[in-house]
Parts: sequence; structure tokens; C-alpha cells
Amino acid sequence: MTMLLGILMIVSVTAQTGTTISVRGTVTDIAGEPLIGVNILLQGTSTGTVTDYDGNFTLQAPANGVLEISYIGYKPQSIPINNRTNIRIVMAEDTELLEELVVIGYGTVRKDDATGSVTAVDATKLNRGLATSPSDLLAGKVAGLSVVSSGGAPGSSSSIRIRGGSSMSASNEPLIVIDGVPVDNATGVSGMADPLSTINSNDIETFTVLKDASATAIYGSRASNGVIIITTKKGHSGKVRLSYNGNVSVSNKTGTVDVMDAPTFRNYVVNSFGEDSQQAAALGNTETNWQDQIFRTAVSTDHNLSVSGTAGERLPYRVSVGYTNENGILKTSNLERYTGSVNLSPSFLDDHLRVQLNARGMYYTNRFADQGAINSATQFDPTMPVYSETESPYGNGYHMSLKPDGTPIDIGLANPLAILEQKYDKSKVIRSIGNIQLDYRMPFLEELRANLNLGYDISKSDGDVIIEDNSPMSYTWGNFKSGWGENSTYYQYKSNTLLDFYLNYAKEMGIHRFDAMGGYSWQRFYNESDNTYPYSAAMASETGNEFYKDGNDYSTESYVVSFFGRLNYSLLNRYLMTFTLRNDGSSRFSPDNQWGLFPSAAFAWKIINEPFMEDAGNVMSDLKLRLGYGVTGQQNLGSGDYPWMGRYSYSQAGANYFFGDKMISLIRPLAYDENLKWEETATYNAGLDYGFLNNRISGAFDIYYRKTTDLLNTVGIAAGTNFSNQLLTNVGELVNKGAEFSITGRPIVSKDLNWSLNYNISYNRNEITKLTITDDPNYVGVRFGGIDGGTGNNIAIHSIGYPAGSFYVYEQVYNDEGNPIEGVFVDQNADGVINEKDLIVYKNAAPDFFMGLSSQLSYKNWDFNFSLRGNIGNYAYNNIQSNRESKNTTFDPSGWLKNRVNSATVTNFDAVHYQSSYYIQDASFLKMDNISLGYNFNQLLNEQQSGRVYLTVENPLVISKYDGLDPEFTNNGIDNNIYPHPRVFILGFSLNF
Amino acid sequence: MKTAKYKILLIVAISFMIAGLSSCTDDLNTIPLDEEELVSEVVFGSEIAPYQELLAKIYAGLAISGNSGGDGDPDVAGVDGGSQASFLRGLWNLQQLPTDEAHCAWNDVGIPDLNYNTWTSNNVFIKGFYYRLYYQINLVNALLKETTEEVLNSRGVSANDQAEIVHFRAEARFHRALAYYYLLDMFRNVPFVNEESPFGSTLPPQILAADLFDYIEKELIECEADMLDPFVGYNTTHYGRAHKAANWSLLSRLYLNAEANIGVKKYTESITYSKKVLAENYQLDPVYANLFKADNHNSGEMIFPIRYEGEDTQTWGGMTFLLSAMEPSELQEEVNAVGAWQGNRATSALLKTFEREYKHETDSRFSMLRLDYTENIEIEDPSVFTNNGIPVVKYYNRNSDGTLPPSNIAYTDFPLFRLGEIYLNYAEAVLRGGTGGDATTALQLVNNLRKRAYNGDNAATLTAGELNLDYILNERGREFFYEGQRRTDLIRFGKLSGSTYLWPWKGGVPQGRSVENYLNVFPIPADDIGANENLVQNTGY
Repeated sequence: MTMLLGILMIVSVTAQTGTTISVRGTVTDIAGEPLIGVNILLQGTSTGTVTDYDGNFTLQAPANGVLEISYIGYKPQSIPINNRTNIRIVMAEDTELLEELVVIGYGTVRKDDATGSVTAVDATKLNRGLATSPSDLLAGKVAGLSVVSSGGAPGSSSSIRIRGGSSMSASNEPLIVIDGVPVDNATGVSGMADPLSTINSNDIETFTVLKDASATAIYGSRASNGVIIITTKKGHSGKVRLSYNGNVSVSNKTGTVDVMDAPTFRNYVVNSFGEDSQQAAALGNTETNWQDQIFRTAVSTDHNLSVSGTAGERLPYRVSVGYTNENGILKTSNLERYTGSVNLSPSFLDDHLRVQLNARGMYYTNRFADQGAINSATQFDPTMPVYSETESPYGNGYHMSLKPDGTPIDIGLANPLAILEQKYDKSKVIRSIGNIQLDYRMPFLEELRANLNLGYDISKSDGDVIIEDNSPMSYTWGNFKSGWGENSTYYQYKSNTLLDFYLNYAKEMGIHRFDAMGGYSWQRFYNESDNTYPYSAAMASETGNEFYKDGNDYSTESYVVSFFGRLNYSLLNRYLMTFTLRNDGSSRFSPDNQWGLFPSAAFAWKIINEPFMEDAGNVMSDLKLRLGYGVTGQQNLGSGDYPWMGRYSYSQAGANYFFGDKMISLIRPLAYDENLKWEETATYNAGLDYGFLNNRISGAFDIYYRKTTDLLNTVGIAAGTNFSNQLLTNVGELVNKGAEFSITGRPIVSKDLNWSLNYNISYNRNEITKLTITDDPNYVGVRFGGIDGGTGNNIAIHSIGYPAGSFYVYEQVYNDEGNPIEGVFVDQNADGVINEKDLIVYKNAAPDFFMGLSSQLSYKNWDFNFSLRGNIGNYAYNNIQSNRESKNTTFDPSGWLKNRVNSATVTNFDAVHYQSSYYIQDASFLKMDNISLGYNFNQLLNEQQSGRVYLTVENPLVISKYDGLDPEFTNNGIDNNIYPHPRVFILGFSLNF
Repeated sequence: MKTAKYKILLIVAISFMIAGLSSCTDDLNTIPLDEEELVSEVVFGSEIAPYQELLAKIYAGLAISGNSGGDGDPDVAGVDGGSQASFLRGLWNLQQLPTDEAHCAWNDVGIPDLNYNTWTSNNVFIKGFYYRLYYQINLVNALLKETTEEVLNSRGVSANDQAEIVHFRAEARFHRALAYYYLLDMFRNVPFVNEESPFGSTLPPQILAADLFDYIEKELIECEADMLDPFVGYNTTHYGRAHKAANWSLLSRLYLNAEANIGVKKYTESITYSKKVLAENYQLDPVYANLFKADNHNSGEMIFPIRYEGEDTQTWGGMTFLLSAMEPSELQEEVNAVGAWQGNRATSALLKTFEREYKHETDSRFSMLRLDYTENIEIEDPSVFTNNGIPVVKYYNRNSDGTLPPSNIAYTDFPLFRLGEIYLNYAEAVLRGGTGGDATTALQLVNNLRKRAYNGDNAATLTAGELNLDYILNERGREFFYEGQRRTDLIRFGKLSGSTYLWPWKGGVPQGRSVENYLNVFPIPADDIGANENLVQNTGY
């Protein structure tokens, strides 16, 4: 029977195709290098082979057969055999396909096969400029990803949000994974404002942003806010490549807060209070522009050198070193950073064992300039001199407000220049992130792969804050105000260690392709810190004590242990399904609550591969529908590592009791919820990936719905049930809904002129739907957001039915000319009284829409790029204005004047009205992040070198209605003390050889 | 063959890993690394100190508001620590402002409603006091759970220490009974928790007044035996702690008010316990004013104080409030207070209470009404202190010999229970028909009390016919003004609500008006009604 079948088969084969010959050949790339492991498949059959170490292959094939050659990263080819017995095949790199391999959690996937909402950004294509922080590179590049820098200080952090924040009081920052190591970025490193600045942006290969739960659920209880995966550049095969990038830049302030100058202020005081008033008598007789005194033009530089290649033909490596010295526009602010990194990626055992070793280190010193100087400069009397003109022994020569008897006024403003020059806030940080990853393909079962990843993230930082004795601040700041500086020192050591292990089995069987992965992860976070409060040496010898206050030290740790798995299945390369499940355990919760299950499911339909789409092949090159659902968690609750435990605290000085003669200190149990658990978010996502004209135009459209439950909130609880009448517990709910659209196109593609554009726009609406255990109509919400001015004034609120972090104000009434009528507000409940019941929830700091547009144009050797970004619908509370407009607070009864903004004469308020809706202003903006012009040259000494010279301007242009200095800042939308973004001119040079 | 070897290797490797995994999941059960992060396993061990410190916290809850000086780190959340979460200040505000004795000139949110008996369930002062009482109860429940015999044995506490801790437990139960007494008197039907109630999210049931009364009575009777024996005056080891006489005094007060609180007459029982106190060696302090001076810890009349020892018990509520809120600024130095806030003063009704007596100018208590510092005994402008009503200066932060304590931070203890009250309790209970006492003793006690007030002058003496219930109410007014008792007394005599007794600004009207009866009981705070669905609000609110 079998014999018959066999003969029949051979007959049918030969009948189909004619004579069988032995075909051999070699496959090389354009440079002539042999390609190993190239797939050679006989078309229409499952007969095939792969090339060996020399790029050679041998195959039995019919003389008129067609060979299909395919290899990752190269353009596939179909080559008719045409009776040749020796075929040379040259493969061309397919740069498009290279980009289409995206990194996802615990593995990679072809972009084609991605079922979740995932966006990959090629970091090498981004305009780097002066970005000290990688997060700045991402601003405006990815739909749904909002990066807001907290200000222009060197090394300042950014607030990153993916699809709106999913929490109210817990962390809203996404999980950042660097080369497979999840980095703890929710709790910062003392002394280093932006933890991501550990990585030199020159070393980054790709960013992958995972947005919906079907992609992020694999990270379980840390993934509710999305995940950003960063991979760094590795070594490559071929000759050694040396690459240098450097630049010099000059930064300037873009503008100043519109406060009165000396003559205007003098007129204002005299007109408001009278020439003989005590206010007029407090005027000085010089002219000082305080903002000019504190800002400067700053010069910075950044250099990076990397070497990559393959040592001894077996060890691909990349080594890089970098140096940055960034000065900020606020005097004395400075950052100096040395970075180094090593990447080794050898493979052994016939390429069955691939090893990747990454290590990067950073040494960083920073001097922070106190942003209070900006606050002080915009309020300091402009008629006063910078330096004292009397022989006052107080203030180290800087002008200070003094009482008639010559002693300092302890509630006066500190001299802005002194704040910068007499305060030394310095830190030193050493940090290293590294991992070793072993990927072993089983020789007995090629489809099975085991991957082990061991990683670490260690940082050590110490710093001190020293305020000079007898400086203006020593009399006006702190708890003692006695003329000596209240110094502090801090030390922090953080270590984060990781072990990841997973098995991956991938099998293709005809039209079915599936990929199963199961793994285990263990991660430990350890943090220890120490603070002391020393006197200066002079005060220490005078008082005989080294410290003026007891220091404290603290250490804490937490663990995350998880089991996870993923199953990918694809049918006919058209219907794709992904299921993931993660069982996460966190040590932050009680043993009964530690484990949580985070599932996800996604389905994708590659419509483009359907037979009925074949005709459209000329126009549409990609069409894929994606549907996903997943559940993720947030365990960074912001309440320490042991929030569920009942704890006690000892009383402090001043709280004791006495039994007889004996004083006894008190011990108090703290309220706790032992059932505290993580916040959970369920996400539904639907998306469409599209491409036209051979992907010359491509992009995606997504809509999503995310619901967070078990939101943490401090709520009133029943009397008698706990050690307080309020408790932090999981009680609330929050919903985010939105849509994203992105399009990338290359309008012009030609030999000399190439132009590509990327545009993305996102819409997000956030709403709190539940905050208390039972519905209580009297509960207004959680008020927060302290402002400058008065005491204990809060301007923001988390309220049910509104976005988190909205403003809570009285509704101002305006006259016919559009000016506010002082003190007149809308009586919301018509009870004849304006009181707390008339406050309304009004506007929000988060934009309704945000969008980005970036353009890259190249003509012959020149290139011209720019990026634009816009936010629409975000509002800000202009605290600078609200605290500098009222006539009555111009003069402080203790005898000194505070400057006003010029709009004070327009608004004309006598008293302060901090909580008026007049100060909630539209801060929508259109900003050009950078614009640059570069020239590429392909040889310096000989053809081996290539390079680029470029000139970039960062932050050249902002268009906004907002009256404040900068419409873009964090701080919950409260504009006070913001370190403005500078305008930076960068001249840079990069060289590759 | 090779494949098989690899397969076996793989299986072995995987089994090792699984074994390793289970030990790794144990890592999730962490305890705080830092020794200063105190979980109860770390805090409570075999030493007696932490138990004593927890007990001290219960006592301190009557005196100060938080866990750090100046009401920092307050015990009650959502209210101002110094003014609204202070037991003593809250007690004073709730017991004095709604009455004929005091009126506060400040416009702080919640104060005018207390002055005019127009409060609602949202009143912050009512809320603060309510949650303060429950704070005390929660602490007591915690201490009782940590000090049961089994738990102490399992921690290796020595027999000596355990004997001492038995006293702690009894005193804690006393404090809980005290807190429930105030809850009964002011709120009637309240949520009930004891050391057996589940901790956390189970909502406490509402207990009815009659059952609460029985509970308080039972608790006090049961814990009495384990309390310290009574001592008179200052005791270098125990002064400040509750002893048997404090227990009896509370019972005496509880029973006296039973008819008003639950409609059951318990005057006989009141007399029983008054007699127990009288049998001890307590003496009336020869000088009335000395009871309210910085060295009143030496007084033989003091039964149970709330202690203040200067900067070690620092608060803006409590005794600081009693010293600073009432005197005109000219008297601040004499009182030796940290401030002269000039808020509370008496209405003319208090003057009339004194004027009813014979030769009232001789009454040393009367001299505390500082008519010399006001030009108008009537309050014409309720929000002005000066010349609108009568300043009352009763508490002094000065020793009885005129010398000063170590600083101007309060050193004067507050007499929560003193002998003078027992005298009047006894007399009133007899007049109301309680048995076990006699009218002669009653008259004698009242006369002793009055003679002390009159410094021995015979004008003080009453005849048997003069001593009746109305007289008792007035005498209580003269003896206990500004000691946080007036509201309870007026209610017991049916004079707080209704129109039988009107005083200036009662109900918000200058000449006073009748107010509804439901105001005899405070409302359960709206916050708790919202948080606990088992609770039914008191009628009228």
C-alpha cells in the first residue's frame, strides 16, 4: 500500500514539475557578506532548507520551480530556478521590516502580528537636541502619550501619562522597562529629579509604548498606567564603527512674568494709598528688575562616543561613554553627568545560546537652584536694591526688609538673588542598571526556547542643602528663623533586583501558527535613607551641638512575585488571537490579599490578507482590525510598603501624660485597613491599523474605555470601627474614555528630495464615578492643591462626576465690558449667602485633545526637521496673578511692600480673591518643540566617515492665550514657582567612522 | 539518545525551579525592616512600658488633642485639632454655650449655633466631640485586646507586671464607661462597640439608651474591684490615675441623671455611691479659688483630675482654652495665660443666679464674675466681647500662694470629679426621693459647701425649709459655673428647653425664647449617619 502511494507521489511530483535537479547556491547581502539561516522554500510545497554558516544551501527541486527566499530584516524574493544548478542570491535590507519588529513584554512580535495597541518609536530617528532625558524625546510622537516636563531646570523630571491617569492618589506613572528590567520610577531617587536621565538618549534604540491592557496585562499589578519599554543599542556584526555626537548649546529665557517695574510700581503705590501714607514711605529709591537678576544666559555641552562591532568575530559589542554639562537659565542651577555603557551580545553553541549582557552606569552631580527665587523675584519690591545700602549686619550684604530697629522682619520675602547664591543644594548620584539575558533554543526541540533574565538597578545618592548663616533666608525661612541656616543632609540607597524566567514554544503547522509562553518573575525593591539636620560648623561650636534636630533613618523593602503566560495563535496569517494571564503577588498587601489575577484577551483580523482584499493591493497595503480586553493593577499606592499593617507611633515632644511624678510618653495605634489592595483597571480597546500605497501612508486609529475600580481614597468611616474616623481604603471608581488617531506619510519620496510627516491626535475624557462607601449627597469630594497666598487654601478637588483634579472655585460675575466685579459671585443655591456651598467644580488642567506633528525633510545632503505639539482644552490656575493683584495686600503690616502684576490696574481688586474662577485661564497652546537644519556629509578624509552638522532651536515658539509665563507645566495646573522652559540654540556635530 | 538526556535534564531543572519558586513566594510576607516602624508584634512584648504608654494615651485623650505638642498630629481627622478635637474644650463648649451661663463672641463656624441652640447634624464641634469620645473607646478596646491573660502569658509578661496590668484594664474600662456616659447624656442612642466587636468594616449596631445605661452601670460595677484604692490629695506614684472613688463618683452622677436620660429613677443608687465617696477622707478645699489654681493637685477635694503639666502636655484646647479664652486682656498677666482671646463671657442670667442668694457679695464664688471689667452686663452685640456681658475669670495658672508655675503654659489641672459635686448629688438625690440618705445630712453637706464659699460667714447657712430642688439648681449654678456641667443640670430640671426658663440670647433672640425639646439631645453627626446605615438619627434632626 505504502509503496503504491510512494510511487504515486513521486509520479505526481514529477508530473507537476518536470525533472528534479539539485540546486545549490549562496545567499549574501549587498556587501557580499554571507547570510546565515536564510529560509529557502520551494514555492507551493513545504520543502525547504536554510543556509549554513557560509550562506550556502542545497535543495532538490524541479528545474522549473520557484524558490522563495526569506530572511528577517531583508526583502523577500521569489527566484525561478530556470534549470540552474548554482544560484547566487543577493538580499537587500528591508528597512521597513526592521522597524516592524516590536518589543512587547517578555518577547518580540512582528508589528503585523501585534494584537494590542502598541506603538514603536525608532529612537535613532528622533531629533535629539539637548534632551537630557529620554522622556523628552517622546513628547508628541505617540498618540495617547502625553509627556509634560515639570519645568526647565536641568534634569527636571517629566510627568508621563498614557491615556489619562488611571488613579487619583496612587501613582499615575507608567511602568518603565529598560532592557527587560522594570525600573522603579514611581518613587524617585533623592537628589535626582528625573530617574530616566540615567540613560543617555544616544544609547537608546527603540521605545515601545504599550497602551491597552491586552498588551500591558502581562505586567500585571504594575501595568495600569501603560508600559514603556526601552531597548538600548547593541553591538553588530561587521567592522568596527565609531560614532561621536556632540553639541554646544546656549539657553535663554523666553519671557518674564509681567510684573510692574519700579516707576510703574511707585505710581501705583502713591495713587492707591496716597503720597503721605505709610505704604509710600516704605518705597525704596532704586530700580531693580529682579527677574533679570536671577536669570542668565546659560551655555551647556553634551558629548557622546560609542564604539561598536564584533570582537574576534564572536562577540558583538557596543561601548559608549558620554559627558553632559548642562547649566540652567536660573542662576547657579547646573547638572554634570558622566555615563558609560557596555553591551555584549555573543552567541554560543551554534547560535542556540544567545547571551546579552548590558550594563550602564552614571555618575551625576547636580546643583539645584531653589525655584522659590522665582516666586520671590516676582513679588520683591522693584524699588529696592539688590545689595544692602545700609551697614546692616543682617543678610550677608544682600538687601533685606528690616524693622525700624534694624532687625529682620521674619515674615519678609527673602532676597531672590540671595536664595540662589547663599543656598547650596547639591547632590551626587551614582546609578547603574544592568542585566544578563540568556536565551537558549533547545537543540532537541528547536521550537522551544528558554529565557533567563537577571537584572539589577542600583543607585546611591547623597546630598546636602546648606543655607548660609546670616543669609536673608536664615531669618525668614524654616522653623527657627534665628539667623543660622537650617541645613540638612540626605543619603539614599536603592536597589532593585530581578529574576525572570520563561519558556517559549513556537510552532508553525501549515495555516496554523502558535506561540505559547509561560514564565516566572521575582523582583525585590529595597530602599534605605538617612536624613540628618546639622548646624553649620560655626553654629556647632557656638552651641556645642552638632545637630539642631534629630535625624531619622528608614529602610524598607517590597517584593513582587509572579507567574505569567501568553498564548498567541494565528490562523491563515489572517486571524490572530492572544491570551495572557498573570498571577501577581505583591508583598505590600496582607497575606489574604496578596495575589491577583490579571487576564487579557485580544483578537486581530488582518483584513489585508483576505482574498477579497487582493484587488485593493495596489491602494491598500495594510488593514488590520484589533479588539482587546484586559485587566491590570496598580500597586504603587503611595502609602509605603506596609500600608495594610496596624502600626503604632510614639508621641512627639509636647504630648505626654503624668502618673504621679512620672512623665509617660504616649503610644498611639494608627488607623489601618488590612484589606487594602491594589487598584484595578479594566480596559476595552478597539483599533484599526491602516496603510496605503505600499505603506507610504500608514497609521492607526484606536478607541478605548478604561475603568478603574478599588480606587484609593480617604473616607469617613463609621465611629467605633477603627482608630480614626477617616481611613485610606479602596473605595472609588474612575473611568477614562478616549480615541487616538495617528498617520505617518511620505508625501515626497525621490532620489534627492524626501519628506515624511507624522501627525497624531488624542482625545481623553476622565471622570470619577465613585468616591465614598455609600452615596452621600453632602460629600463634595477630596480637596487638595495648596496655593501660594493665605493659609490652607486648596484650589483643586477630586469630585464625583468630574475629571480627577478639577478646580473648585466660586463662579465670578463679570460686568458688561468683561471685567470681573470684585467680590460678586454666582449664588449657586440662591440662598442669599456666598459660602462654601456655592463653590463649583470648574475646568481641569488636563487637555481634552493633544496632538503632535513632526516633519522630516531632506534634500540631497541637507535635512530640515521640526516638531509641533498642541494641547487644547487645558486650563491653569494663574496663581502668579491671583497672589499679586489685590491692592490691600500690597503692603504687609510689618512694614514692606510686595510688587504687583501689571494687570492689577486692569482687574482692580481691592482684596484677594484666590478662589475666583477669574483666575482659571485657558492654557491651550501650540508649541514648536524644536526646529533644526542639518548638513550630512559622506566623507571627511575618505569614504569611511560620515557625519552631520546641525543647528537646532528648542522651544522657539509658543502660541497661547494664556497670560502666564508658560502654559505647560505639571503641579496640578497650579501656576506658581514654575521654572520656565528656556529657548535653546544648539550647534551639534556627529561623526561616524 | 542525546535528546532523551536533554529531556531528563530539562525535567530535573524544572523540578528544581518549582521547588525554588515556593520559597520565593514566601518573600511576599514581609515585616517592616525599620525598627521604628512599629507593628503590634514589635511594640507589645514582655515589658510593661508599652502597655502603660497606651493607657497614658487614653488618659491624655482627655487633656490634649494629638500625638505631638500643640495639637500636631491630631487624633480626630477632619476637624481642627485644638478647638474641635479636644475633649475638655469640646465638653466645655457643648455644656456651657447652649446654657444661661456663657456666650461666645467669636464667629467661628459652628459657634453661633451653639450659643443659640440652632445647631444641625453638620456642626463641627458636635462632630469633633463625638469622634473624640469614640477615639477613647477604640483605644480602650485595643488595650483590652492586648492585655488579656492569654495574650500576656504568651508574651512572657511577669506576674508582677500582670498584676499591675490588671489595674490598667480596670482603669481603661472606667474610661470607656466615662466616654459612654457622655455619649448617653449627649447623644442617647449611639453605635456600640466593645473589645469583642470586629475591627474594620463591620458596621456597629445602634444601642438604645436604656441598654447603654445598663452597660455603663455594669462595667463600672465590675471594674471597681480592680481599680486602685482611693487616695486624697497628691500621690507621687498614682496622682492622675482613676481610682475607686472616681468610679463611685461617676456612678453617683450616672444614677442622678438616670431619670433624665432613660426615664428610670435611680436616686437611691446615687446616694449609695455618694456615701461611699463621703466615707473616704476627702475634704472640701478651704479656699474655693484654690481648686482652680496651678497647684490644685494638692487639694483634698480633688477626686479625678485632667492633668496639665506645662509644655509636656501642650494643647490649644483643654486648660489652655479655659485660661485664655475668657479673661479681658488686662488680666492675662494675672491669670498667667498664653493669650487673652476674649471670646466667652457670662450673660446676665449668671449674675441673677448669684443675686438670688442672701449677701451674695460675700460669696467668694461671686467674686469671679468680673463686673469691674464690663460696663454693660447685658450682651447687646453678641460678637463683641468688651462691655457686652460679664467676663468670668475662674481658672488661674498661678499657685495658691500667688507664685508662678515654671511657665505660662497651663499647669492647672481640671477637676473632672470633686467632692463638692458629691455633696450636691447627695442632697439632690435625697430631695428627689432616694433612700439611704437623710435630709439632715443633706442640709449639713449643703451648708458646709456654702460656708466654704462664704469663707465661714454665717450668712451662708440655710434652714431645712429653704433647701428645695429649685434651690439645688441655683446652688449648682453658683458652685459649678464654667465647669462643664450646666447643660446636664438644666436638662435634669427641665429648664434647658421650653419656656419656663429664658435667658438672654436663648434661641438667638436678645431676651430669649423657648426652644424645642428635641434639642435636649445632640444630633448624631451627619458623617456617621452617612457612614453607618445601622444608625437612626435622633428625633427632630
